[in-house]
Amino acid sequence: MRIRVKVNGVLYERDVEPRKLLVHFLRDDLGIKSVRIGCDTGNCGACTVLLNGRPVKSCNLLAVQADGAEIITADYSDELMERLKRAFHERHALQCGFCTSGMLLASYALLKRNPKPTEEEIREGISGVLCRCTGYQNIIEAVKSVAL
Amino acid sequence: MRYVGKPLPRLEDYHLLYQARYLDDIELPGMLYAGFVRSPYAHARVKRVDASEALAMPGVVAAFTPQSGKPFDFAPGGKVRYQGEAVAMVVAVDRYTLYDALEKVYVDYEPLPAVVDPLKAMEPGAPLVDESLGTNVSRREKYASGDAERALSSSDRVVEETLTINRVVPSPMEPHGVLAAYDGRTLLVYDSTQKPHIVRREIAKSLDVPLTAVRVVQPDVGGGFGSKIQVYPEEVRVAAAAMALRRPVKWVATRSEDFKMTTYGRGLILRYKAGFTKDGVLKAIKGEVVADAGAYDWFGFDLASTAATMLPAAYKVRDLDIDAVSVLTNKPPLGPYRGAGRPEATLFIERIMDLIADETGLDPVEVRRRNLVEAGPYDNPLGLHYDSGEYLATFNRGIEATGYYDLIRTAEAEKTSGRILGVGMSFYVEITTYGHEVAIVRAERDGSFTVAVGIAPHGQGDATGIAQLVADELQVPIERVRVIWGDTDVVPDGMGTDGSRSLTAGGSAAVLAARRLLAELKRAAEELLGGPAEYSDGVFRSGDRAISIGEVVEAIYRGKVKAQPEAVEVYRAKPTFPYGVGVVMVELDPETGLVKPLLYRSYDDIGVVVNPLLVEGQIHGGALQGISQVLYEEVVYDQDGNLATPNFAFYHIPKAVEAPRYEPKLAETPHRSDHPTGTKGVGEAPTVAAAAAAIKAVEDAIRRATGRRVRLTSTPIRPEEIYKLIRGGS
Amino acid sequence: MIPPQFEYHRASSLEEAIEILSEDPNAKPLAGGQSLIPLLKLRAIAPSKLVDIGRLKELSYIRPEGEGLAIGALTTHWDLERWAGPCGVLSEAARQIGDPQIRAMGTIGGSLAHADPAADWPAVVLALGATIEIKGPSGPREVPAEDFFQGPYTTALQQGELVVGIRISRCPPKASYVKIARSHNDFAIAGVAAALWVKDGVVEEARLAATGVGLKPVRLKRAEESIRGRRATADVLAEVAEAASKEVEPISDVRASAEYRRAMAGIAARRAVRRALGL
Repeated sequence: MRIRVKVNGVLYERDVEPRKLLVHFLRDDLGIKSVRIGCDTGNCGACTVLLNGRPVKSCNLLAVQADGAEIITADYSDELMERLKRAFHERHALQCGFCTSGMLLASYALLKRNPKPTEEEIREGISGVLCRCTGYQNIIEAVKSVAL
Repeated sequence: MRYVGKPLPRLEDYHLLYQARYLDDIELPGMLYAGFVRSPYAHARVKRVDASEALAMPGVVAAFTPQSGKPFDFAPGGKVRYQGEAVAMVVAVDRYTLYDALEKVYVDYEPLPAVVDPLKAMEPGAPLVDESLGTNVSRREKYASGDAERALSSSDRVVEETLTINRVVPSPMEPHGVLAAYDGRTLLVYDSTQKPHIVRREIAKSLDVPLTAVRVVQPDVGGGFGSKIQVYPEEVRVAAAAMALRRPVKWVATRSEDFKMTTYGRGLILRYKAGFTKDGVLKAIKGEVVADAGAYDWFGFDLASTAATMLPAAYKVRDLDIDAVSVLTNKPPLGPYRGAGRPEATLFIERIMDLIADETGLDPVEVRRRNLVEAGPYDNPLGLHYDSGEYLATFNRGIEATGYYDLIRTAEAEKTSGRILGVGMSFYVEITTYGHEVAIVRAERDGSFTVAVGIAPHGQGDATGIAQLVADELQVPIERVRVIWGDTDVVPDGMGTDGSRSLTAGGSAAVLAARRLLAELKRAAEELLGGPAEYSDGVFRSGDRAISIGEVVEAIYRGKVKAQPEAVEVYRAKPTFPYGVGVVMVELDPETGLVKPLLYRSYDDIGVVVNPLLVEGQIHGGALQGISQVLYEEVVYDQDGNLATPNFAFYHIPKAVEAPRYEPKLAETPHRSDHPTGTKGVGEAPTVAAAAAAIKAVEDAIRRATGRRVRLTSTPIRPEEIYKLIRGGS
Repeated sequence: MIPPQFEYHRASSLEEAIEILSEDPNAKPLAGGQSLIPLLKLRAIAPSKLVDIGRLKELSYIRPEGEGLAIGALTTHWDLERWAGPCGVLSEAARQIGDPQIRAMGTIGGSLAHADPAADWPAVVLALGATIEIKGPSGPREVPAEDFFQGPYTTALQQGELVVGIRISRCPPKASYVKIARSHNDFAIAGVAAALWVKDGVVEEARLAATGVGLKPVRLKRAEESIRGRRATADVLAEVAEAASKEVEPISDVRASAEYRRAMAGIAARRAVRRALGL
């Protein structure tokens, strides 16, 4: 089936098998490797992307469901994303880095709709992305610092 | 010292934020995808494997089965010994074809009775995991000193108990994976591993090729926590398939598959008797540490032995008689997981200290004070040499610094408003660092430096720490130091990253190599300058003449002076022993038994602190793993060895909403290790400290809720168990 | 991780979806996919066709209707989480589902049709006395929520039928949904939704429903009786808890034993009533 998606501002038109997951479409067909796969049950959130502005798990979506959508991945560059990345660096909010794309996008989506979140709102906002390295505190501090 | 001690943000970050490449992100032209057919039975004879239907499917390239023999080595001994053990491998042109084909491999199994509980596996008549041994006890060794029997009989009190630490799934966010390509002479292996040089050695041995025929590259690795230490059969099989097919072959485990094939952590049991005086002094422990080793004793014995030999911690008890036993069960093999035997040893001995406090009515802090060795160096009765530390004084300072008694008072005060808090504290001493490490430091023509190391960090930030050390050693800006690792082509050998050893062993190797290189360059500079030279900040000075490092290197290449612009250091790294205090505060919902961790505080003497930001990161994450093991992470098997918690939908990794606040402090006057870096390691210390403190915190909360003495002896503590303890008494 | 092969039809109308689904017993509708796709990835199911109804925008709405509310089947948990009108318990419950990413895709109709015995919406719609609007090859019909759930993953839906909406005739002035789970927003060990009508401190009408404590979500009728016509004193709340615990029929699984689920049903019932009443 032929689908059209705009990813980070670039329009792509491709044929896909209906069963292809959006995460495989992004990674294998479009070569966008920052979208990562950490589980197969929709728990880890490493594959989070923004679909028409909302965070979704791209492993829990068929590529055909995203037909016509605008997608943002961690490669997207605007002021908010760059500030988040700098804050993650300065606050030591990434270690192995595998969850970081998902964390950035969950944080980005949160700050877009709620520019001054409380700590509780930040914890809830990133609760769909698992991190095994940081214990979360520095991620929360990084998001807070961008919200200030 | 310009950099060491500073909280420098990581040099690795911009790569990871913008250009990270994990194993599955790497693609080679013509690459094929491999996957494994895995046993649904925990124990079965494999009668027949038929891959013909899979092979007939479009896009399927090859299949390897038990009939393929070595080096694939499927179903060794004609059996599978745990649910998920691989029995065949299929190679196809893409992932989607591959997973369809895996369903078309037919296997005839003859199910055998499985043995799941290690204590039952030790009993006569239990089903045998490996018939050739005639027993499930894979190995048993005694660690003893003094006369435990006599000390027990002369103790005022003797207690007998079993402490159980259940299995956990290490769960780095990136699952296992490997990609291999063969050009007819050389195998190039990308591997999500903690130990590239060990992978190279194992693959070369298994495939019977020289080491020079195998290059292992560690791409960015999404965590390991010990689970990427073992060189798994899958890694060898993928390399063998790439060699056989002469095409690149990639295998990446799904999470559910990772749960089937990864090494599991913890899984140790202590059955013991302990004797102590009415004044709370521990006199003797006699018992055995039993490892639930799983189907193959890859690490089970090592873990039991580490837990046994670290059991006395820094307590004065010297009459000990501890067996380390590894027992085969029909479960995936046990392996190292952050702490690897030390969190277990600490939880065991700290549970014993808390029991002494309960039995004598003494304060848990006072019990520890009465038992602690004053200071190191100290020879532990089971043969370990603790290098340095003021155990008693640091413990006292740690109790102060963590505000332990303030937290207890808070918990008491909050109870009056109906809020149930619990506080637990632990003292730990742990062993880190071993083996050898290799570093090469090379001066470039412009006076910048490349440092190649055999350690293989994957999130810890050691490249930044080593750059700090080397920049200070060479007195150059850190921007002029680049640290590279994770490629067997760039450094001759190394043991990778585990055991909290990387900055200590790898950093010391790098510092010594830099020192040797500087001496060599100085000799060359003196020859060029025509007299004795002084070195500072990248420049050699002799009288009014000066020459920069870059100019010396330039002169070497132009033949103006004979010297080597590169130095290699092979460093033997002796163990060192960080220690400290961990405190956990939890909140208990007494109606449901649900527990939430609120706070982790610590006071650690980890030797020299190279980068406090990195240390803090290790403590946060390590503490959560220790706490999570006690509160959340539960591996459940049924009686037939079926895994009832097969992925993240059932096995709970804590989320941001469930994580506590961390407030770590470091000893103001740390005790150096003997290593050139003076560091002792911190990667595992917080996990060691936190688990032991967390179980006590939960126990404390239950006691506060009930007013009854309750004793917790196993992890994890299910809310349901807490609920029952609160309702029914114990 | 890789779904099995299936045919894919993107429905451009409800009628088209119903037609395809009624022709093929092995076809399955795809709404948000947050339950369906994980099952496909684990190859726990192998439908012949997926009929994607996700683009039927006309099924995504929340509309006040009289004293009640009409909700389109394709309304996401995300949208319900942000609902600030009557039946505020919908927002409270939505927040307790999964995480933001799951809520952004998952739909209330999909969740009801999936009928996981530990899911959240089934208890909420039962307590709200909702009617499930169904459309199928033989036209539309309405089924009271109580008759809709028939067992684990089993509902009153016949072949070719779809949940198209949820109608609540009367939003309760006081309501709450309390879930006890082993981890944040996990499937319920026990979850209870309470809908209450109170006059002068006396509970005139109560509807309580529980999830996670049996093969399907259930009304807690004895717990309701124990508070109806009474003030919510500590003693009455204890009776509510006891009644709820006694009337559920939970089973044991890897998350919790039947015994614990039974106890938690009582705790959740008491807390739901307390929270609904702002106690």
